[in-house]
Formats: sequence, structure tokens, C-alpha cells
Amino acid sequence: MLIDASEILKMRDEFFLDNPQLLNPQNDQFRLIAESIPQLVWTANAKGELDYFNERWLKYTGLSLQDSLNPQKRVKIIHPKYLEEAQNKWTESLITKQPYEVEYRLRGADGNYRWFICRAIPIVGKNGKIVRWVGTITDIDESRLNAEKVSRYAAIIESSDDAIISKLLDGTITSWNSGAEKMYGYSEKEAVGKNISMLFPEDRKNELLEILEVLRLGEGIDHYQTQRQKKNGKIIDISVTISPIKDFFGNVIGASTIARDISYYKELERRKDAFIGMASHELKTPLTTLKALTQISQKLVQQDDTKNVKVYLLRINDQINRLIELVNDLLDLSKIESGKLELNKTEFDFNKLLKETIENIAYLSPSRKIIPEGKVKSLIKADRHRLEQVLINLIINALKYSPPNSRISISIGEELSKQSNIPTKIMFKIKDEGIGISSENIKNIFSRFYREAGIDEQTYPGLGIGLYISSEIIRRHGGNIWVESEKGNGSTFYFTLPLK
Amino acid sequence: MAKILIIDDDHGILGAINAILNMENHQVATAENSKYLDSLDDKNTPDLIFLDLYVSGENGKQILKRIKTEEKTSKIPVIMLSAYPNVEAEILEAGADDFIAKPFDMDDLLGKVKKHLK
Repeated sequence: MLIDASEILKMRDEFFLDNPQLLNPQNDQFRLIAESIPQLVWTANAKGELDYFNERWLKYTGLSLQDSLNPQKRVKIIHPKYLEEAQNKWTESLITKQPYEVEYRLRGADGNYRWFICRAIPIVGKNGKIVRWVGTITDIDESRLNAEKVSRYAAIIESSDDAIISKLLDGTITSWNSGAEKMYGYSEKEAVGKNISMLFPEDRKNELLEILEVLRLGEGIDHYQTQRQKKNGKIIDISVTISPIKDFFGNVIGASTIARDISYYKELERRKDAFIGMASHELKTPLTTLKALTQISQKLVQQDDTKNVKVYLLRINDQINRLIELVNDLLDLSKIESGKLELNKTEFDFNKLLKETIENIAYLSPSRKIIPEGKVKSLIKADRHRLEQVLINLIINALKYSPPNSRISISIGEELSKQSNIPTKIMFKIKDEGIGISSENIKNIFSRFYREAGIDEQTYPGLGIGLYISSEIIRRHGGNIWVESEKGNGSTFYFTLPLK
Repeated sequence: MAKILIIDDDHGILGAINAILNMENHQVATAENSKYLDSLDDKNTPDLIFLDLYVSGENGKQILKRIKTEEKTSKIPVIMLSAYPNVEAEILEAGADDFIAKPFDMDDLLGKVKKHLK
């Protein structure tokens, strides 16, 4: 027969009304109970003066009975932080005649504080007035510390950028932190209760089954790189660690997943692979010619037919020079890719640099005269060697891609700042009357070229990686580089550089 | 002694393959893109074609398709070349008669020429 709780309280009140002696600490039966239960027990008289403490209290606090009965001595064992609250609540209970409850830290005999919950109920006598207060003080130290631990963990989980998700063995999502909201785009409300399979892209649905199998065996998965799908359908690269959640008996009841977005690192990896692919392809072209010419020369020498070998040896040397240039370009490119392109800035005369560069290249096309127009009056602070590289690249391209009898014109000048009329930049312009660049290719002209995905894609005939390197050098100086061109109608390359 | 056409956009390679084939007394024509195929007649139709996978922005497989579908050229054996890795399977699947990777060995190349001219 189940009895209502309020019924029990009524029975209790009536019982103590009929048997007030049982609340008297002098009474043996009272003391028997008070000394047996695993709590600290105390009582107070109708005025609220504490008049009894059980053995457990004396043992824990280390106080003598005399000191316990003394309020001044007694309050010393309550941690000062909670003393005021405890006293105020007690005063309130005495006035309102309502049960007393407070959580505080009490100092034990060993000097250490532990958390306790102190409760007291008033016992009402026949005249309706309170005759006694009976109080218990229960040790909640462990559960309190656990509660603090739990809220600390909860805070860590909530503030983590990683997606931390828990799920049941059937895949039902049971928790979803803010990191998961950010990563996948579903709010906590949208995600909890749904199945984790919604995060798996079509081609990875099998993976989910495999994961659940591993979890059922009580094992986890560490730092597994895979892909998931956001709410908006976008696929992201992630690294996951999945751990089984077990119940008290060791049965697996679910799993927790921590996932980190590794898109950035995957992108770096892809760029590195693309670079290696491009470098290897670019290098193989001159090597093909070198190998072929060498083998031909070997055969001819063997046959004593050395008439053409002289020419082939010249070509071999040309190819080797080309290869040297390519290797240097690739090294520059690799430095740029890894952010290590260093600029060695010095102050120098740009006009002089341009003149010297033109003279040095002159031997390539002695018949073509390039006379620059304009002048840069101020000194420029920049990496002279790298700037030379840019000039050589642009001038050689102009020579290469225009007919021998066509004009190449170069003009340079200073740009003044709009506010102060002081020169702040230099302007360089080189115009050729060559084959030009189609509008299709113009947008890619300064990018690294490498065929990315399928073999069926159109390729952009590279002006090599020289232009990409030139554009990086200019940009690293804080300048701009661009081109105006039309297929069949020549090209004009421009760049600006800040003077300092 | 055969007529061989090489389509590749690298001058060095055109010159090198030219030189190799000349040693065997073949008659060689070189082209940097597929335009050469527009002007084929009975006199200059080649007996064998070397074709690179990427030529001046054109996809070699498209050029191959053209060669194999046009009546004038459909019977000509085509050996494709490339410096890209792992392309042999797709090249052969696209209908090329043979494939040679760059850089190649001169005797390998000559061996394939002999094989396909038979």
C-alpha cells in the first residue's frame, strides 16, 4: 500500500506530538538513532539555541561538546565565505518557522574543508508552537566536486572549436556543442534527435556502418581523416576521434566524436602535390630533349658520323641552360609557396637597373633595339636582384612572343600621391606587337599552371612560371602588375611599385 | 623510309625526335598544333603520327579522335607521348595505337616506330 508523502509528514508530526520525549537528546532512543545514522546530527531548543551534537559531529569537527555548544567557538569551523548566509538563513527559519537548508564548507579536525548540506526541520508541539529543531548535516563533498568537475567539462566542451558530438549506437545524436554548430551548420535544436548519417556524404555512407561496428566491439577510432557534409551540402575535410561510451557494466551505449576541420591542411597538401606534379612535368620536357640528343650523339659518334654532332651538342647546351633556369624558377616558386621568399631591399637607381638589364639581354636579339622612355627621378627601395628578374622576364616574353621586325616600347615614370603631390610609386610599361593573349587566358596569365583534375580539361598554354614569380615579387613589394592584351594585337604589361 | 608527322608544342622535342627519325632515313614533318592536319593531301599524308597529350592548349585526345574519325587519316597509327604520370591507360583507351612516356629511350622509340610501320 503506497502512502502519500504529505500523509507521512502528517503522521510524523502527530507521532512527535504524542511522543515528544523522542526528540529529547537525553532520551536513549533518540540518541540511538542520532548516533547510528551516517550524518552529523544536532538539535536546537525552541529559541533556536543548539543544545545537542552527535558523536559524528564531534569526531569530524574535532570540537569538544563544550565548544560545540558555544556559538562563538562553533562558527569558527564554518568557512567564512558561507558563514553570513548560514546565519541569515537560520535567523529567517526561526522567524518563519520554515525548514532550514544551506550548503557550506565545514572545517574538519584535520584542518581541511569539506562541503556539507545542513538541514533542519521544526517540530511543532501541542500548542502549535515549535518545541525543537532537529538538524542533519550531510557530507556532499564528493558530489559537489563532481558537479564542479562536470560543469567545468561542460564549459570546455561548449567553448571548444572542435565539433563534439555524442550519439547512441543506432546513430541518434544526443548532444551537439557550439563547435558542431559552426562546423556543420545545424543548430543544437536541429541536430539532437536526428541521425548522424545526415552528416555523411553519399560516397561515405558505408563508413558509418564500419564505425558502428568498431564501436560495438568497445573500441574507438583515433585521428581518422575523412569527409563530412554540412547543412548547405558543402563537403569538408575533417579529422575525427571516436570513443565508445560505456555504462556502469561496461556495455557500449553510445559514442562521442571529436572532429576537427582540416580543410586548411588538406588545401596545403593539394597545393604541394600540384606543385610537385607541375615541377616534375616541367622538368621532364627539357630532359626528354637532352636524353634524345645525347643518345643520338652517342650513336653517331659510335658510327663515326660526327657531322651533325656539333650542332646537337650546341642544342644540348641550350637545353641545359633552359633546365638551369627552370630549376631556379622552381626553387623560387617553392619558396613563394612556403612563404619563404625573402626580399633584400636596398636603395638604388631604377633607370640604371633598367638600362643594364636591357644591355644584358641585348645579345639575345641584337637586331632589336629597345630604348626606354621616361625617367624615375627618385631612388627606389626594393630588392634589386628580384626586380631585375621581373624586368628580364617581361622583356624576354616581349621578345619571344613578337615578330623580329616589330616594335617593343618601354616607358617608366613616377606616380604622385593624390593628396601631397609627392612621388610615391614608380610605373613601368612594356608594349609589344606580338601574338597577344586571348581573353580566355588573360585571367590565368599570372597564375601557376598545372592541370588539376581530369585529363579532358583545356589547358592554358603557359608563359611558364616566370610570370607567376614576377607577379609574386611585385605583390610582395606592395605593388601591382597587370596586362592589357588582345589576341593577335600585342600585349602591354604594366607594374607599379612603391618607392619605399 | 616512311613519312612521319610529329605534333608537339616543344621545339626541343620536335627537333630531337626529328633527328632520331632522320637517322633511320625517315621523312619527318613537325607541327606545333593540329592545323597541319587541315592541309593533308595524298602527297603529304603521313604513315605514322607522334602526338603529345597536350599541344598548344589543345587536348591531344581530341586531336586523336579527329585523326581516327576522318577518312583521310583514320588508318594512320598514332603513338601518343606525355610527361604526365599514369596516363597510359586512358590514352590507350582513347584509341591511341601506342604510348611512350617522356623522357624516352631512343631505341624504345625506334622499336615502336618499326612495329607500327609494318
